[in-house]
Amino acid sequence: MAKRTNRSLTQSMYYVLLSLQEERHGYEIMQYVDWLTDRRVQVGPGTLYSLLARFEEDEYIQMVSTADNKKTYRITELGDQLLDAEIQRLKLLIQDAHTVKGDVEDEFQNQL
Amino acid sequence: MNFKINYKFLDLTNTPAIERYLEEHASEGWFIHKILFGSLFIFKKTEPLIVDFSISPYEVEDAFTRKTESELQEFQEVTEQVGWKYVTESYDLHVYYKEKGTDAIPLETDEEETFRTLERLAKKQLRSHWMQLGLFALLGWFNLGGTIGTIDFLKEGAAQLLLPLLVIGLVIASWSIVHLRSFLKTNQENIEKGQAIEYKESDFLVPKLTFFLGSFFAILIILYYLYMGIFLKDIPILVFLIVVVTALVSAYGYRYYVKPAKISLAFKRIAWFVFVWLLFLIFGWSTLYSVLDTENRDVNLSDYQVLTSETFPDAGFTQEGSLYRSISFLVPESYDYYYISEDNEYVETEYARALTEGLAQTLVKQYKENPKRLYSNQYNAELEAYFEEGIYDDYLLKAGVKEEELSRLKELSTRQAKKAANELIDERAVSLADAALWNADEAYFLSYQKDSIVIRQGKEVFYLRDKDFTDPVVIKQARERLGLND
Repeated sequence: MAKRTNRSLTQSMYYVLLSLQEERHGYEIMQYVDWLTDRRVQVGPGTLYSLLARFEEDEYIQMVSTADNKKTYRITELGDQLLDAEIQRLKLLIQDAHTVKGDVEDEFQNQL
Repeated sequence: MNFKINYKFLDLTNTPAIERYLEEHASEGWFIHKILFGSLFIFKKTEPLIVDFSISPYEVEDAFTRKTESELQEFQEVTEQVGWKYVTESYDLHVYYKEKGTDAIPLETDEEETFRTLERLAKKQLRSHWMQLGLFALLGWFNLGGTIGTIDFLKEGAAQLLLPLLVIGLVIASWSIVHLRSFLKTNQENIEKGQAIEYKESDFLVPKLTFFLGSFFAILIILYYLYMGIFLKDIPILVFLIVVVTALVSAYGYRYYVKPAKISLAFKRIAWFVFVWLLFLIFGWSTLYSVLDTENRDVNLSDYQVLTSETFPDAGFTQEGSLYRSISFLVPESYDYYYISEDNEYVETEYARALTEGLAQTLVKQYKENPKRLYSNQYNAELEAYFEEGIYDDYLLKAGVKEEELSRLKELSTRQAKKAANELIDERAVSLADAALWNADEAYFLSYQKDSIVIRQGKEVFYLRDKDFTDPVVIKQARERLGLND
């Protein structure tokens, strides 16, 4: 499947990339996402290892070490760009929501 | 019995149905132990267990992937750390379970990512099915395309067994391609719409039936080759068997004993080398030597209905040839034998005992077709010499074609004249023989010179070559030797 640089990330993709700001191995990633989201988001091992393989292939992450059957990964510059673009997209979504929900003055009506 | 085997089908498209099936069996006290070929489910008897099964797709190491055994181990360790216990696997599908009600993160938590994994594995399978389809089509074309119904096809068990195997291979490859493509198409749309993956709930009759029939014919073909190689001492088949068995044993031996061992790579390489050579020396040479040692050959010609040098006592110097035996379903017993006569001719007998008289008649029909193939190009050089340079070779008289007959064709182009002359040769090769003289049901000469004949008595068919089969003395001696007397 083509790289999804022009599409939004799924929740699992987003949190896996986020957790790889630091070097982590598979099980650590799962625990970190669990902790970060207060168990709101869970990444199952099937999903996680599928993502890690694909991200590595697409060069969004890279393996930094391997020991005792555990591969440790870290996000790459390309992966960081993807994540930043997603964060930016999410910020805009939230900003739009604030506008509609009235936290910010809706200038649309004034323009009419 | 503390175990049972059920016949089911598991692939990428029906994991939820199989998870339910395994859960039902576990609740009845049958716990899954192994899944062989994605079809044979081996259960072990246990206490009834209330459990959840989860089947997760994860690409395993094979010749076409970069996945390694250690990556799979890491995946399995993490899966166990989050509360799932490993049971078994079937190709790229891994079966886990946990007690119902216990807390464990689901193996798959992202529908889109699960689909991507399934898609990758399905595309890998599709590539192999396309290759399989092409390979079987090529095999069919080269090996069976022109042989169905011919003498070789009727006599050779391998051809008769390969035909259904090829058909089964083509059916299952085609079915798999359609099946996987439809699964991918449906779910690509589902994922794009944000919907869940739609798994199959079918009974999968096509793969189940083809697996059953394919296994049946594959076992038969192995037995056939073993019988041909070991009992009928067919040396090419025996050599083939030795190569295949050596390759399989050494590959599996290496895969399961040498590769996982915690020893140095250099030692593994030496072990591999020694292992293969020992296998070859012990298994290969002992078998091959016993067959190549002609002193030990257990062939007594008096047990076979063939013309030998002793059949015609007046013959001068002769040299015995060799016997080739074969079995098949349509012709359970057949053998060919030749010896070299005093005129340096190969006196040949082809014997066949067909399953039914009808099949024996078919065999005779095929022999009658044979001269066309045999003689069609045999006289090409002489015909060319005549039509292009006007030189008539007396050799053409052997085919019954006189110069004046050819001269009538001269007005045609060389190509057309040669074609017409060959048709004349073919027509004259086959003629009716007096079956009563041979105490047979039917007999035909297969050459103009009448030195080749096919004879049928009931289910038995004899093809004889390179003697004058119009000579009453030859007929008498041949009849006695072949058991064609009253």
